[in-house]
Order: sequence, then C-alpha cells, then structure tokens
Amino acid sequence: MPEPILVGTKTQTIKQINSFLFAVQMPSGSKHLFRRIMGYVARERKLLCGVLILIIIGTFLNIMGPVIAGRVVDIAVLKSSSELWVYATAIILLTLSSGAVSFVREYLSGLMSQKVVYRIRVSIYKHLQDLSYSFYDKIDAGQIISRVSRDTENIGGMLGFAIPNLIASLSTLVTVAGILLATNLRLALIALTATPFILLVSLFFNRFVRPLFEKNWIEISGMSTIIQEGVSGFKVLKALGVENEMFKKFDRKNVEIYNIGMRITFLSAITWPSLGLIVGVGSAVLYWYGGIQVIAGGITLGQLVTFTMYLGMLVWPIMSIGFVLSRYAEAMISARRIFEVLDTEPEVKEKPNAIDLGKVKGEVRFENVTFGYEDKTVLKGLSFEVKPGEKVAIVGATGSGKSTIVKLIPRFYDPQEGRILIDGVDIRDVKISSLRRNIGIVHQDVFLFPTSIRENIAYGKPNATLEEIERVAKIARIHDYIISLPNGYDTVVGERGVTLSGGQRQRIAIARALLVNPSILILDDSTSSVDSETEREIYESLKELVKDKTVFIITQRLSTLKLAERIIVVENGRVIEDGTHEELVRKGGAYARLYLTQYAAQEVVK
Amino acid sequence: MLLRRWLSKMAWHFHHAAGAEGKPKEVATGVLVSWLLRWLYPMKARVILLALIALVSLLVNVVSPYVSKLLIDEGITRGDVDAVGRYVLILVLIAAGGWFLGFLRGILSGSLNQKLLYNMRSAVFKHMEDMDVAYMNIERTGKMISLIVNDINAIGDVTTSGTIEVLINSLTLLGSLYMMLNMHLGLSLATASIVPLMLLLSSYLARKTRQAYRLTREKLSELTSSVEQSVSGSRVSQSFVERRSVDTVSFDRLSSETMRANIKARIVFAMIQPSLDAVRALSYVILILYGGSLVASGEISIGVLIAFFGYAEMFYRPIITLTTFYSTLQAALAAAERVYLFLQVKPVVKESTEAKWIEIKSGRIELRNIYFDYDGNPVFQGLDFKVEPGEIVAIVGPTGAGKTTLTNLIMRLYDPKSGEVLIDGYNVKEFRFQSLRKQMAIVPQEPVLFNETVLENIRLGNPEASDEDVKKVVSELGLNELIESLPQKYDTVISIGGGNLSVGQRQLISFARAMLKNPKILILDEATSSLDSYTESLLQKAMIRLMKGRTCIIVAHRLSTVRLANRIVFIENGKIVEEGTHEELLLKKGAYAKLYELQFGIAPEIVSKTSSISVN
Ligand SMILES: Nc1ncnc2c1ncn2[C@@H]1O[C@H](COP(=O)(O)OP(=O)(O)O)[C@@H](O)[C@H]1O
Ligand SMILES: Nc1ncnc2c1ncn2[C@@H]1O[C@H](COP(=O)(O)OP(=O)(O)O)[C@@H](O)[C@H]1O
Ligand SMILES: [Mg+2]
Ligand SMILES: [Mg+2]
Repeated sequence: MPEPILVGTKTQTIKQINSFLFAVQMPSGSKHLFRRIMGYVARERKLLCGVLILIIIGTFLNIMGPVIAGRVVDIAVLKSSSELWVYATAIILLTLSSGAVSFVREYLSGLMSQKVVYRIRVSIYKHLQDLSYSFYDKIDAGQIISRVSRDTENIGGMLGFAIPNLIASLSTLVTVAGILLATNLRLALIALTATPFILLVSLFFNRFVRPLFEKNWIEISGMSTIIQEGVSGFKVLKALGVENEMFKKFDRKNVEIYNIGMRITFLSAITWPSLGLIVGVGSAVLYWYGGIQVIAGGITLGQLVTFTMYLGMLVWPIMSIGFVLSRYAEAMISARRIFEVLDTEPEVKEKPNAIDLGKVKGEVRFENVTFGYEDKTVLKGLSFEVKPGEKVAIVGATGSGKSTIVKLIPRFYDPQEGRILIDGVDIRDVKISSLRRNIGIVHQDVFLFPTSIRENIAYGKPNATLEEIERVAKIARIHDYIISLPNGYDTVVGERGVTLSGGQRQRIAIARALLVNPSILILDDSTSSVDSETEREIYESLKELVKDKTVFIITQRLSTLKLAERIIVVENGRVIEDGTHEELVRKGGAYARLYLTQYAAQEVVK
Repeated sequence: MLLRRWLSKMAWHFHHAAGAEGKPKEVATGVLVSWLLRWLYPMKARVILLALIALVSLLVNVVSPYVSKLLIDEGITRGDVDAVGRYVLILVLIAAGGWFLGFLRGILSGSLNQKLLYNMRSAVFKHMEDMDVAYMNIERTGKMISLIVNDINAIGDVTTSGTIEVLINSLTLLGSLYMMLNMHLGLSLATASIVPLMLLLSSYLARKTRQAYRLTREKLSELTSSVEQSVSGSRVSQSFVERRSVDTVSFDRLSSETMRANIKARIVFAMIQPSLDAVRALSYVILILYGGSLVASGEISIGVLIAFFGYAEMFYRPIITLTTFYSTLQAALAAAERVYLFLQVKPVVKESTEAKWIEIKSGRIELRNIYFDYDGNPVFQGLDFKVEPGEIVAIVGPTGAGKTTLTNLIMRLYDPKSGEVLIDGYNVKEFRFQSLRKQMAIVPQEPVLFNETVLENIRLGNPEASDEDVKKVVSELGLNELIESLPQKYDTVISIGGGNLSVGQRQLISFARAMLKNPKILILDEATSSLDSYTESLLQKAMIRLMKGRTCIIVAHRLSTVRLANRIVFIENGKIVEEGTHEELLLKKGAYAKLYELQFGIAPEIVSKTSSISVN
C-alpha cells in the first residue's frame, strides 16, 4: 500500500483558479448532442410542458413560507395571539398544495425521462444488431454494456432531475431576488452578496471534480476489463503460475482509483464546509446590519427573519446550478458515447432496393476478391467457383485467410474489391437476412451461451421441438453424451461452455448450425478437437443430410480432406491449386507437400 | 474505550436495522458487522480522531441557534448595538470553526473510506486469484466485476461516512433536545410530540424506497446481462438471422420492464419530500400556535421562539436521516454479505502450509490409482499412469475421455478424489504452487491471449524474461515469420479475446509462451490442432531439439502430431485401453490401429510412392 498521493492540490488549484471559473467545460459539440437528445424528448412534449408549468407554480408556493414566518414573528412580538391560527392554516394549506405540485411534477418528469431512456435503449440495441464484425473486433463488451445501462441512465438523470431542477432553481432565484430587492434594497444587496460566492464555490467544485469522476469511470472500466480477463483466463494464469502478474495490473488500477478518490475527497472536504461558511457568515452579517436596522426602526424583526430564511432558500438553487451543469456535462459525455455507437455505420450495409434471395441452390462464386482487415491485406484477387451441392475443402497455411474467406460468404465483412455471387446474384444486392438464412456456419472458435444445452442448440430456431433438437444432436454425435448427463438437455453449461470438453463444445455448435437447415454449410475447423472416429461418424451421418447442400470444410486432418469432392489451396491471398484430392496429390505441388507432411510424419516413426 | 463503546453502539444499530427488516439472511448480521469492524480496526486511530472531531463540531452546531437567540433577545430587542456586534462576531467565529472542523472531518472520513475500499478491492481480487479452477468455472464474470466494483463501494460509504453520520445525527438529536428542554419544557414536549409520526412515516418511506430501488437494480442487471450476452455472442447471433426478432422482442420487454420499475420508484421518491414537509409543517403549526401564545403571554421571549424553529429543524432532520439510513444500510449489508460469503469460500485445491520449493530434477510423472469426478460425473476410476524422465508420451483417445482432465491433475489445477499424483516421487501436494507450475508448462487446448502486445503475451510465461529472451524463444521455435506478418510485429496489441489473430496463430503464441518457461515437464494439450500440417511439421522439427532433457506429454488427435512420442497411450472413458510404441500398437490391431487406418488407410500406395519426399 503506497502512501496516499494527493495530486493536483492547492498550488495547482490556485494557478488555475482564474482560467476556469466561468468556463464550465462542456464536451465539444454538446449543443448538437443536446439537440439530438431533445429529438427524443420532442415526442413527450406534453409531459414537458406540464413539468414546466408545475415548476413555476411550485416556485410561487415556496416563496410564501418565509413571508408567513416573518408575519408570525411580528405578531408574536406584538404579543397578540389572535391572528396566529390564520397563519397556521395558511402553512398547512401551503404545504399540502406545494407537496401535491411537487409530487405531480416529479412523477411527470420521471415518466418523461424514463420513456426517453427506454426508446434510446431499444434503438441502441437494434443498432447493435446491425453492426458488422469489424465493429465487434474493436470494442469490448464492457464498453457497450456501460453505454446501454449507465450512459442512458445519465441522460435520464439529466432529463428527469437536472433540467427540471435547473429551471426550478432559476425561477426561485429570480423571484426571491426580485422580492428581496423590492422589499428592502440595502438589506437585499447584503443578502445577495453571498450568492456569487456560493456560485463560485460550486463552479470550483464542478470544474475540478467532474473530470475526476470521468477519470474514475475510465479507471473503473479498465479495472473491469482486468477482472474479466482474470476470470476468463483463470486457468491459463494458474497453469502459468503468474496470478501475481494479473494482481500487479489490478493493483496499478486500484492505486489509481485510490488516488482519484483521495482527490475527490479533498475537493469535497473543501467545498461543503465552505458553503456552510458562506451561509453562516452571510447570515451573521445580515443579522448585524439587519439588527441595527431593527433597532433603528427601519424594519421589523419579522422582516429580518424572512430575509434570513430567504438567504437559506437561495443556497440550494445556486448550489444546484453547479450540480446541474455538471450533470449536464456528464450527460453530454454519455450522449456522445451513445451517438458514437448509433452513428457507427455498419460496414456491411444493405442496399435500399435489396432483393430477397429466397432459398438458394448453393452456387458460390468468388470473383477477384481482395480483402484486408484494417492494417493487413489477407486476400489478393481471389477467385473460385463452387457448384451447387459441391463439398469443398479449403486448405492453406495458418493465417493464410481460410477463416476469412468463409466469413465473407455470409457478408460478415465486405471485400474491398471484387465480388461474391451466390446463385449468380451479387450478395451485396440482396437482403442480408435472406442471405444469412441460407447459410449455416460453425465458427472456428466456438462460442456457447451460459444457458442450457437445449437452448444453445435451438439458438437459431428458438421454437424448435425437442425431436428436431435431438435429431441434429444425434447427427453431431453429441446426443449420447447429453443424455448421459444428470440433467440431460437442460444441463447448463458454464460461461463460454467451460464445463464441456473442447470436442463436446464443437459438436454442440455443429448441431446448432444444422438445426436451421441451411443450403450452404460452413464448417471452419469444427472437428479439430474431435477424435477421428467420432469425426468420421459425424461425416457419415452428415452425408445424407447435406446431399444437395453446398458444404465448405476447413480442416487440417487428411482423413477429413479426403471426404471432400474438391480441394482449394490458398496461399498469399490467392487460390494456387484447385482439384480433387487425387489430382492434387499427383500434381505434386503445395497440397501434395502439405498432405505428405502428415504421411512423412508416420514414416519417421517407422 | 470510546472506540469500544462507539463500536458496540454501531453493532447495536446495525443489528437493530436488520432485525427491523426481519429479512432472512444467510449470514447473521452480527457476524457481518464484526467482520466489517475488523476492516476498520487497523485504522482505529483515525476512527477515534474522527469521532472526536464529530463531537466537537456537534457542539458547535448545537450552540449556534442559541447564539441567534441571544442576539435577538439581548441585542436587537433591547436595542443594544454593541451586543449585536458581539454576537454577530461569535456567529462568524462559529462559522469559521465549523468550516475547519468540517474540512478535517471530510478529509478524515474520506481518506478512511478510500483506504477501506482499496483494501477490500485488493483482498477480493487476491482471494479470487487464490481460488481454484473448479470454483471459478462456475463463477460468472459479471458477478465478479459487480462484487469488486459495485458491492465494495456500497459497503465503503456506509461503513465510514455512514457510521459517522449516524453518530453525529444521534448526538445532534440529543443535543438539540437538551437545549430545547433548557429553554422551555412544554414547548419542547410539543415539538417532540410529532416524533412518533415522523418515525413511522420515514421508516415506511425508507422501506418503500428500498423495495423500489431493489426492483430497478434487478431489472437493470437483467438488462445488462442480456446486452452482455448478445455482445459477447455477437458473432453467433449474426449468423442466425431468425434469432434477431426473438432477441429484439425480449430486449424490448426487458427495457420496458426496467422503465416501469423506474417510474414506480420515481413515484415513491416523489412522495418523500412532500410527506416529510407535511409533517414538518405540522410541527411549525404547533410551534406557531403554542409558541406564539407563549410569547404573547410573555412566558418566553421571541428569541426563544426563533431558536426553537432552529432546534426543531436540528431535531427532525437526524430522525429522517437515521431512518432513511436504514435502507442504505440494508443495501450495504446485502453487499457486505456477498463479499463476505465470497471471501469465506475456500479453494479445495490449496497450498499446504508445509509445501516446499522442490527442484524438479528428473521429471518423472506418476499417477497412482486416481479417482476423479466433476460434481459426481466420474472421469477416472482407478487410473494408473506413468511417464519416465525424458520420455515423450502421446495420449490419444476420444473427446471427453479425460485427456485434458489428466493434464489438469498433473498441474494440480484439480485434486483427485483419491489416489496420488507424484512428480519426481514427491506428491504434487508437497510442492508450493509456484514451484510446481513454474517448472512445468502446458500449452492448453484453447489458447488464451490477453489484451496486451504480442511481446507481453509471450513474456507472461516468464515475467522476468528480457525482450531478447522472448525473441530467442520465438526464433528457436521458427516463429519469426509469424511475428513478421503481424502489422506491428511484437508490438501488435492483441484485441480482447484474441480476435485479430487466426486461431492457429493464437496457438503458436501460446506455444512460445510455454517454451519461455524453459520447463522440465512440457504438456501439449491438442496444442497444434488448428495448425496446418506444414506449419506443424516445421514446429515439430524445432521441438525435437527443444524437447531434449524434458519430460513431455502430448495430447493429440492427428497422428502426425503423435509421431514425436516414444510411447502412445490410448485412453477411453477414463481408462487406459492400450499402451505401447507405434509399431506395437499397429500390430495389436486395436483402437489405435483403427485410428491409423481411419487417417491413413485409404491410399497406402501413395504413402509408399512418396515416402522418399522429405518433409520440407
Ligand atoms: N479480426 C481481425 N482483425 C485483424 N486481423 C485479422 C482478423 N482476423 C484475422 N486476421 C488476420 O488475418 C489473417 C488471416 O486470418 P484467418 O483467416 O483467421 O487465417 P486462417 O487461414 O488460419 O483461418 C491472419 O494473419 C490474422 O492475423
Ligand atoms: N469443468 C468441468 N465441469 C464438469 N464437467 C467437465 C468439466 N470439464 C470436463 N468435464 C467433463 O469431463 C469429461 C472429460 O473431459 P476432458 O478431460 O476435457 O476430455 P478430453 O479427453 O476431450 O480432453 C467430459 O465428459 C467433460 O464433459
Ligand atoms: Mg482459421
Ligand atoms: Mg481436451
């Protein structure tokens, strides 16, 4: 535990004191962001109007309180108790009506803000479903989650609390100041001298604390990522014996968060008592000057009491202007983060006049396809053609782009050059959903959801019957294992499926893809952890099912390759060989070399 | 002494709070409280100081309405301008003192809080690192994050600033009552008469608020995990278009439920201020009517009445604060319970106190009569398995046979139910974890890379290694080409989950990481399953050199991978069904021979024709 480090303390504070004060920093373009948020609010404009009217009414009711109190004091001073009950009734009525007004106001503003939050959330979610792989390649889950939960809540807070509050504060401020000035100019000026100081302090707090809160949030999400990696990589970290390294990373964040917390502590410790000081000194001065006035007979004691109460009433609205500004700024940061997502155009876009592809026969043609990830070209003018119902294997060195090729077929990415045709139609001309409905893909790195096995298999066809599910599970040769489990198909698998062996996971993923009965089936190294015998059984039973389907297989195992009718060899982003297993072996090229490696391996042993 | 009494008072308070709720708890509140207090114990000096400061500032607070009373009665009413000046000066001094004390209090309680949070976060993360694989497999990532990030925060606030708050508020209550009683008994009683009403109302509101609040949190966390699932499984969900509408509908339902919960909560929140105001107004009415008539009859001075208004405020606010504090306290106790329970979980696989650093000299591995199951799902029932020093053994067998489980036992990621795992004749339980795991290396079935540069990812194998050491291992394994092909070479940052590398490339990085450990025992668990045969063969050539002097276990399905082994063990259903050299097993015509046939059976003539072609 290092010593608490108080960074950015007094000297720095004093240095910056002049530059910041009235420049509450707003994120750039916040006007524009605000307008966009108001676009969502526009639909609730009736609610908004109601809130505004209630705020004004509430303000007027509030300022009556001190007047009554002052009158009571004056009456008491005159030692007459006759009229007191009138004021007592007035207080009760006042409280009840202002209570009712504030209740309705709060309810309406809550309703309005929550409706807006709801609509923003749904639109983010829908947009997330449209975004392409390239988006998910860059972002981590935590960031998206915080946008959907925390950032939308911030906006809700701004609309439901901060803005009504700001308006209420301003109207209180103006009315109270007006009344004070009208009653007694000098006393009013004394009472009001406190206000700039309060504003100053709250702006000061705001200016320094808000960036700290933001920084704190960044550090905390960094910490969450570390925890996430610590959990998902737990076994590997243990096996490496380097849990310490992870702890060191964690501790760095922890210390950082501690330091930020200490800075916030320092600022709060200075701010809150300072407000107390301003109000305390302010009312003392008021008492002093007002007291002399009362003695001189200029005003009554009751008026003095009214004045001090008004001074108290001013503190909160002025303070809250500072808070509201900070909430506003925070909400604008959130808005920016939300619109960042909403404005991300999916890289893979559907044309406005896209057609429905319908059920395809399964002819696939790559024409001169060039494709690269952000900083790396993978395919360089790749062309090949697959006839309907053909079973094709794609072979190539590690990292040569095999997985990339098959990810282009369902349009998870779009090629930079060239085009891909299915049944003779450019896949960019068709509805994305109609394209993907035809394709079943088993990704190389299998992802299972932490739900039951049954739900995992039925993922692509949520209304599937148990018979259908069992049928595909049998084809994927996983049924027997599933029913051997105590809970059978209802067994819940761990996160990412950790409670299953690698081959079991792969077979569930195969079953999942088969269930949607696609015309084009893609198996990306989907049996790498399955033993050869089971693998052969899977392919045997698949044969019947995929008789007239186009199948792409990526595999490293010879025994599987030999099942393919045709083999495409990829190197340097191009197809360098194409033919049947026998043809390619006879040709003695790259495939033969690859193929023979596995044989030659056997020879070494012999 | 003071601390003791304060602590026991707090304990009472906490207990009372929970008791009032009557919520069935797994952990007794008393246990939780004493556990929380243990966290504060090391900082007791600061706690005592804080309590002292709180006391002094309390006195200052309580005195100030009285001074206003004096100001009015002895200054203004009597027309004594000097007295007015004197009392105003006192008020200014009180304000200044209040400022100073408030500042000290803020700093002290804030830093106490930060330190507590720091310590707790550290402890929970460390505890998580100390857990075993079996436990962490069932733990959800989201829960761990929320434990460390949210729950600890909730505890921290209440334990430090909350306790001080309670202390000050209760004392303020007593102090203002005392001051009022000193001024006028009847008026004090009248003021206090609405306390029961206030208590009832605020505890009712606190309970309602908490319920409403809990519902919104529950809904939000459902919403969150639904987003989490669809984001982390986005690649899968995009592949299944029918899913889209189902997911959208369920998300829409969840978020409208969240909305409704929030609106409901808002209604409760909206009730708080008006109803408390109403009660307060009632007290004002009492003060005005009764107090006003007392002033009129000359029984009390006008200053006293004004001071009473001040004290009434001081008297009611703590009551409201204290009752609403219960709800915060409940949330904090619930959070504390979660943290406490997690810290109570003890790993099954533990380092024994007598564990030593044992140098692995020969690298002999022996598993004797092993019984093992996952939650009653048996994997091994009396397995015996032996690897001689320097031997290379291949393990072959169907998926789910227990191959990975076997390697887990050797690394002591799990402990067998019975039987023993011996390394160099020592039971693995005699080793310190570090000593066992630093001298062995495993390349796991699924490579796990972290969100750091390639260099750092490899260095994780041996954090002390220099950049040169890393580069040396990479070139010994023949992986320079791979690194060269990455956009920023060694400095390429791997994205979360390793998505910007192909699966084979991830395996190679993970291989390099294991070799950097320079292990005495090397375990490859389907470590090259996603590599093409050619890349694998290059790697194997390097391995033949690198495996000298190490004991190796290779789990594989591809027979080209198995070729490095001196001995092959075929496992099925957790039992060794065959064992021997490649030739022996082929002659035996059993499971292994069948596997061979499956992989090579079809074109034997090609084998003979081309066996002369060299590997490269
Ligand atoms: N999402 C990605 N972002 C950046 N680079 C990637 C991404 N996916 C793959 N790559 C790179 O593209 C190349 C081809 O990858 P891939 O198609 O997965 O190869 P493989 O043939 O092994 O399946 C690799 O060099 C890999 O590093
Ligand atoms: N963490 C776990 N929890 C429960 N069951 C498990 C867990 N890991 C593996 N299993 C089960 O134990 C059996 C053996 O698994 P494993 O050793 O991974 O097989 P493999 O031989 O394919 O490596 C399988 O049936 C698997 O489902
Ligand atoms: Mg791949
Ligand atoms: Mg395994």
